[in-house]
Amino acid sequence: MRVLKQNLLLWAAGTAAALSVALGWLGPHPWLALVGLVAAVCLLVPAGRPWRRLGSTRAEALDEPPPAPAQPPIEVVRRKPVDPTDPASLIENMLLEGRFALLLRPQIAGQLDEEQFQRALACLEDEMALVPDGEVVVGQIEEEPEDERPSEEEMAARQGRVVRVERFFLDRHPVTNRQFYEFVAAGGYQQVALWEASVLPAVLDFVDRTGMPAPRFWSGGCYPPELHDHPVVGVSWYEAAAFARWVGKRLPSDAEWVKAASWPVSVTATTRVQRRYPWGDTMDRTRANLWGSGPKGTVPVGEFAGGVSVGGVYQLLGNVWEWMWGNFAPTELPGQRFVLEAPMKGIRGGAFDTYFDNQATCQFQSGEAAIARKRNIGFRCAVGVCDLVLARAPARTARPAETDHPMPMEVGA
Amino acid sequence: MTRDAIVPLESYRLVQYAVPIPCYICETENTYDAEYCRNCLAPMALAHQANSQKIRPSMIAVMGGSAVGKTVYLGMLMDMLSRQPERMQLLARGAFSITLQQTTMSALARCTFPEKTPNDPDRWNWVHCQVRWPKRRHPWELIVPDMAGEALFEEIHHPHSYRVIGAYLKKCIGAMILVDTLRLKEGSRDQDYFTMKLVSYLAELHDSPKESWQRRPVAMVFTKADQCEPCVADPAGYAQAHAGGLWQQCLERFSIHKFFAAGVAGACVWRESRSEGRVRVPLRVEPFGIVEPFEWLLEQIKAQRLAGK
Repeated sequence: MRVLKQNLLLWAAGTAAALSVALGWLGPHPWLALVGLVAAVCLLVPAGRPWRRLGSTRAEALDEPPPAPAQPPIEVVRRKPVDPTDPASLIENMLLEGRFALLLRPQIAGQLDEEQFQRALACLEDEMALVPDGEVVVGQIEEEPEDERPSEEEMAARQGRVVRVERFFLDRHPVTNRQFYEFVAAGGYQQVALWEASVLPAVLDFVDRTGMPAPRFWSGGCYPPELHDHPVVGVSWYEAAAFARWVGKRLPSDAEWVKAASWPVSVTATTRVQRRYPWGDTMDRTRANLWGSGPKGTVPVGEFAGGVSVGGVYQLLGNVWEWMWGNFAPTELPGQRFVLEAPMKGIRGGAFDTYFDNQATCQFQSGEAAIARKRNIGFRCAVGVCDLVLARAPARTARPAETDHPMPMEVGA
Repeated sequence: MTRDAIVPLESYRLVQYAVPIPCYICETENTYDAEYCRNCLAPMALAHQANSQKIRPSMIAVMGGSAVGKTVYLGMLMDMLSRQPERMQLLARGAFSITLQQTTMSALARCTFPEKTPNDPDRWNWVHCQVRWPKRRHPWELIVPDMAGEALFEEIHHPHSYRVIGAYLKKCIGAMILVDTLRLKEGSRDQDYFTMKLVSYLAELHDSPKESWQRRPVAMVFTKADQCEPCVADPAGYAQAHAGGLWQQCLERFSIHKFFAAGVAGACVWRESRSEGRVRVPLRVEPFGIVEPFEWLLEQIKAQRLAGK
């Protein structure tokens, strides 16, 4: 409105100037023409800006333009286009995209030369931590029972169940915006093979603020530049699973995640010691980004290094909840039953807005609808050791690892 | 067997007992040792505290229908402001003021909601607290009761059935009216109608236009908004679209009002058991939008006070 008023004034002043020029030219007072000319020149200079502003205001009012898209990461823009007929360029590109786990799959590893294979292994070592095989207790209820004398059945339910986990690699950090951008830029949302058939109709709805296929809080298919190293959020379970598939990994199971976080140690054949938090048994809010820790939002995935797990995994607790592969299955005490309005997937770890200490432990599990795209849920990926080729014979032949998993020490955490 | 005993006559005690103490809410005179006001059933501890500390606490109302989340909201607000005092700090005055915070937090930490507030005013949790700001010298004294939604409903339909509510609301300097977003989202108009009745009740409470609620700030808070993204994005727009009657009433009745969205639980499910039946339980607690309405309300009250001076 203010801009419109300014322009009306300019119109009036301009008309007056033009009239004075005409009157001066035709009439008996030539000095009027001179005054009019000077006034017209003076008006033309500032007039440009309000006109431009008026133009933009009109455009906004008529058709709200989407917010300006953030600039894509420069290293992605500068990357050379891939020649699909050239395997070397394809492999190079996959390494740059962070898809080293896919390259180390038995079906593909044979295509790599020694240098590429070593680079893929180095990426694996840098970006993922090895979690050894063993047993872990999952579904334990840590709170004391309200009843002073709980039944044996209830006590058994509270103790959880023991699950055997094979050795696997887990991402050291949650997947960042930068990493997820690779998936978006490579057309991950358009690759039907990456998505579960049941969810394909919903994929069209997985868009950002501007309607582009991307996480919910991005704009123009890209994330805000200041959130480069922050965990990607606003992604549904399906988007997380599609990304994991694209990089040759998968989402971790509940037992795997708990094992990586609580790092159980077997004391006897039947008993084991598990940590309540990755750093020990006492809550310390300086080690995890939770409510009251300070930031009140996500932080870069490398921060809160004090909360790193024994195996070298960052931010298992705090910053963002992490999608699990499995369905949400809360521990039910005898005589109790949970009724879900819609199927839910498990999430673990707590987020920057998790209020209670007891809801940010290695054991605590929550759930969310698989299709939900929330600002405090992200994910990290896992891959079984048995699914990768970690060493090979000099003859460059890929060896299926299902029968034998050579595990050089230097590859582990 | 009985024995005679000599008991000294402590006359000063008798004098103390003889002086009537007016209830802080309804101003009915009560005896010194009365625990609750004989007229409105408000705790007399409020009056004793005001007298002994020589303070005149202001009153703010938190209102809404049954199961809208008043207890959770108030308990959460108190806990958040007592734990993280950067913006403002809330200090409970007296042990009875901490009960609400304690019961709410211990329930939420166990992933359950606190029990329904009983209808009897003598069983409500009354909070007397002090609000402090980092850069302001003078703290504010506030009284906020956790009123039962059904009692409120009864008072609106049959005025004077709960005397404490009428007396309290007449003295309030501002209010937070809570509306259940989930029920609105489901298409139920009950919330809209109930809140309209409440607004109408407030508007008719005073005869004098100077004292009327027209000039008192009111924060309209959509609770359980975590389950409704459009409400979080634009609470006022959501009110206009889904609670048109309420929206219009607010425009007409309150000159200072604002819509907010708040939530406490990240997700909820139903839990069935033999002892409890079917109850809704939170899967995790991640509060948002809790402090903002309260902060806005206090800022408006402060602005009014400054303008009044």
